Amino acid sequence: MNNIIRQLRTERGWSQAVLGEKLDVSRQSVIAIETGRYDPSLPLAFRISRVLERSIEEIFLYQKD
Amino acid sequence: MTNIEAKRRYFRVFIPAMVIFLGASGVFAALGLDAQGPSPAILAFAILPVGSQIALFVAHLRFIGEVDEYLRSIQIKAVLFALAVILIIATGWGYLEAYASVPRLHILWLNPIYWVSYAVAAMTLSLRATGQAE
Repeated sequence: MNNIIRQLRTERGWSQAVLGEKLDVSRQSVIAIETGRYDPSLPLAFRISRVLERSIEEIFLYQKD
Repeated sequence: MTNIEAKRRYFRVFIPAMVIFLGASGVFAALGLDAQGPSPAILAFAILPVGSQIALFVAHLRFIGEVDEYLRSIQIKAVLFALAVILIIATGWGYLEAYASVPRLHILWLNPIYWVSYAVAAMTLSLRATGQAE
């Protein structure tokens, strides 16, 4: 699943480590999610949505396989 | 609980448990205790490596529950990979030992093979996903 987390993060001037702290996950997890290699669970998607102040649908772009 | 705290808690058990396991295994090997038969002293001494392994797996289970979901997925995949490796070796080599008279592989080797397989899988999965090992 693609997402615009990297774009939203850099707009705020946050590093991956800072976003990881805000989400209470590792920097590795942020990298994996940003690059689309890992799809977060629904609770984490909601946390991402709240931290980045965007709706889940705006952040994550669902593509049918 | 952060990932770093979870890792610290894990290594606080992992390191002494491994030292006890390796130390006890070394004593068994150096003294050739297995040649003397299963005396009560040997059976009692065998509790050390077994106990350390139980502590290790309890700590690992706790660690998997404490890290974030992405790291948890890596840990679970690595554990499954290591289990697959030892089951394949145990099954494959077991059949060969039973029916093809190949050299005997001591069952104790499954333990280090498990941990090496787990470590390789965990590192590979971490590197593949993010370019950095956890």
